[in-house]
Amino acid sequence: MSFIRFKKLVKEYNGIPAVKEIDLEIKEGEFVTFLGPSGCGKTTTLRCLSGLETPENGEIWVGDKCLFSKKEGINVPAGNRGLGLVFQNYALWPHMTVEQNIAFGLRKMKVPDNIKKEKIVNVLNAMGLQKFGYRYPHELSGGQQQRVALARMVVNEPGILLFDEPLSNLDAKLRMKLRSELKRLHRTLGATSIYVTHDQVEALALSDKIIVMKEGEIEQIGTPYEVYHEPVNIFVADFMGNPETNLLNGKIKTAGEQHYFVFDDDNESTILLSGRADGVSEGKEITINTRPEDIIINQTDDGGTFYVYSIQPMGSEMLIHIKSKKGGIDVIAKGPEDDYLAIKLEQNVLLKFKRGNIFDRKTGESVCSFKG
Amino acid sequence: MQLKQTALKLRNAKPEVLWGWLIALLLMFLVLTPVLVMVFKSFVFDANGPRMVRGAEEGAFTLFNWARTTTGELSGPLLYQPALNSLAIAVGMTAIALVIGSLFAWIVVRSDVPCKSFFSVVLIIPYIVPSWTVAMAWISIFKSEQYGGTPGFLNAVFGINPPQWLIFGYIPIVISLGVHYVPYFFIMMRGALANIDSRLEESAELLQASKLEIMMKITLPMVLPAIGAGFILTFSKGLGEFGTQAFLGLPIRYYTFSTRIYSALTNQLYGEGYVLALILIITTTFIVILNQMVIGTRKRYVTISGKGSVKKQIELGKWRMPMTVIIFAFIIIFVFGPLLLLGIQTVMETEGVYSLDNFTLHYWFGGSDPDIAMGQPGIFQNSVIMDAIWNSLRLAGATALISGVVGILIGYTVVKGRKTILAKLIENLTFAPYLIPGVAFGGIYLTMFAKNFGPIPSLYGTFALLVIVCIVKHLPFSSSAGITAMHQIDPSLEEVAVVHGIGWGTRFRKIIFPLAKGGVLSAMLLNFITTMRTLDLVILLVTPNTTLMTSVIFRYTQQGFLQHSYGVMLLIIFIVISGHLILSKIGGKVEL
Repeated sequence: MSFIRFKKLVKEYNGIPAVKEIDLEIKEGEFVTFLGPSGCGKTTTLRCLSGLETPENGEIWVGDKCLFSKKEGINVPAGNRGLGLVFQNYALWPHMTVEQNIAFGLRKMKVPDNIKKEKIVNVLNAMGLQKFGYRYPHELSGGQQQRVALARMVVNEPGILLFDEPLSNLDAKLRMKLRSELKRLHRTLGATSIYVTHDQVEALALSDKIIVMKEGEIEQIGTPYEVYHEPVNIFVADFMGNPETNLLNGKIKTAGEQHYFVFDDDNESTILLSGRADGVSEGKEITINTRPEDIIINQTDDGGTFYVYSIQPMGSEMLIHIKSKKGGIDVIAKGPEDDYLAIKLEQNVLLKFKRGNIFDRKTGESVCSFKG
Repeated sequence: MQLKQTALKLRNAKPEVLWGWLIALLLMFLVLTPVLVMVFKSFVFDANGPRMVRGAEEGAFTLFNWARTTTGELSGPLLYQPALNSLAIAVGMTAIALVIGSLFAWIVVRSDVPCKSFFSVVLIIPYIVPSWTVAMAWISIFKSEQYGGTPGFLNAVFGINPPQWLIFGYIPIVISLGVHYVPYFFIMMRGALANIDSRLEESAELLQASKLEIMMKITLPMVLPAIGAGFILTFSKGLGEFGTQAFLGLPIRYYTFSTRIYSALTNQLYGEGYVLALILIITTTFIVILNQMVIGTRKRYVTISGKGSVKKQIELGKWRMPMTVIIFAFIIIFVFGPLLLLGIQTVMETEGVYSLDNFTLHYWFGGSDPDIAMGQPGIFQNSVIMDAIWNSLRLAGATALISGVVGILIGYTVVKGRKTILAKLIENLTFAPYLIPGVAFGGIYLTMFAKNFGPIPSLYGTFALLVIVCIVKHLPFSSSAGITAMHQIDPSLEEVAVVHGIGWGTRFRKIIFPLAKGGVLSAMLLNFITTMRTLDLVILLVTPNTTLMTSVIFRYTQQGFLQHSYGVMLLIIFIVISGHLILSKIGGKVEL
């Protein structure tokens, strides 16, 4: 049963479309992430739902209540939509203490003051802010400010939680910590959450469902597993890469039961695929996507058209840059350090793709996936 | 041996320290000495002393000046009444400017009124033109045959005889000055409002806050520090204002601090004048220190401007048209109205006769005619006025050029020598002239340079003295422009050159100056504009050889050659507005 529904949502800025006829359904209690590069319309979609932006066309529904409909002329004010929003820069009011910031949301609630007080104390405790109630925002660290923003949002018990890149102003360590706190928060509150980010790691770590967007349109909706391992097109495959994925142009060749990948630029360099790439006609122009961790490197003394160009140990794993001898082809592989300790610079190697996706180069759409 | 070492030391010495100390010494002489001279003179009998006190000798130590001004029989009209008037004017004009300026800024920045860019440009004009522009137009509208001699617009066209309090004194002064400072608050509040992240307001909107609630509880508290600082600074400027108060106050003997000082000094009552000037300086200093304390302790709200999100405009709904009309009305009445009226006056042969028969270009181009204006030839035929125009342009040009160079040198010294005694000394010395009102500043220079001062010959009556006084008085601005320009140059850019063994002269010419050029250029242009319209600073120092456009206006107005005054006024306005247009072309901003 879908809870939040966007129907043909359109939003333009000065005639330039930011969101193009989006249709989307989100289930109650889900943690959903809008993921995409900047300017893809993810924040705009979120702001349309919050009521801070008025769409040009379409409908927005929550449950059986219509929040916006161009046709019916309905536009529920932001304050009456029953949702909370955390901004990237937290948007804490600088002239109010932490307590006053949190209390602002409660001022309309028709409950006695002592209950309001209790709610504030509870939320401060829950966020680990009990000592900071009388501080001003500028006296807090970035992580603490973020917690205040979360506290201000949840104290009203909104039915839907919205997050607009809430972690991007924090350093890597703190981001990791707050990520797990956010996940915990979602679990305890059970409120439907929509999270906007351009960081694919964040999206993978947090979401039940990821919605990848590009230029105002939805490219793919799926679980983190689907989006990562079964991207529907080259854009999604490329965007989900971390650090970078290998997108290589070539063709598929069949030799007996085995499928090989042959490069356009260098038809002597072939790579064995583990698993079958059925559904690709021989000679079709394709782009193959294989993530660095899905490449198997075998050392060889003779033959082999690839060699090790550089090795970068990164602690837990190793990054290996491989080039073709003829030049023009670069492949990045990644694996646990122990597996690759024996690999030497300039050494000849044979490659095997353990897993990957094949895309029609003309349309950019997925043709099939293989997995060994 | 020793000589060699000294020579070596000199060569390695940082040049900025060398010229820094030179500038510091010069500043001490030009800023500190005048104040000391003034303090000293306030404690001795002036030339009038023997006439007023039996047995007094000129130059002898006395408390007479202070006693006469602060506790004597005449202390009421001398000090307390003018002081009270000044305070009342400062409060009134600041209130007007604050309310109108902030309201307009909010409307232009945050609401959906039309013609925003037009408003933004035009609403700055009252601050660019001389502060007494509205005052002059005011007189020409409201004066009547009963008060002020010739009939004004209302009197001539509608036969109305406005009461005296509407022509001269408090009400017209407060309104004229208030209008002049509207752009000050407009610019400042526009900046403050534009800096508020709209997400701070959106957060409140999501929590069911109404528009009024957001305004009162979120927006207003955040711009309050800016309002407070603006209030105090405008207030302190208002205390020292001269032109408007002279035009609209002196005819009915309505005195303020600055006009009192002016009349004391022109009547050669130096003791009295300096006591008054010192009291005014102390008051202004106190207010500025208060301002520093308020701003210093106040939490500065760091607001990050909205990333990528289009700033939302608040829909005024049924208020949209009325608000637009109000702004247009303000612009027509107080910006274009005065200019148009002054223009019309200059082509009227007989003042106050609004008919086509009365049209003449005599006041612009005519030769001497004994029937018109006692034979005063038209502006472009009038050698006095033409000299004044040349002098004004020359003065403004020289001031701008020298100030620019001095500013850049000061900026370099202060930025390079951060936290050294020299840097602090220079920063404080360059700020000091800000605290001394223009009339008082001119007054001290008058006394100091009337005779030989140490090795310096008498400079009174020379063009050089005008240049010096303008440069020194504008130092706070020139040096802060220089410091800002220097701050924007990454030190490593120069350090690279140092490592390559490039001498400081080349470094300065090839690296520092080209990089600082933009900032310094706009500072120069602003200095030019400010000098063009300055009246209070130079009014006591000009002599028949060194007449300026502003002093010509002042004298001619007093002598009743109004058409000439209005014409020269228009020329000044034309020059400063052109200067401002060039300034905005090269990316400079109006100085607050």
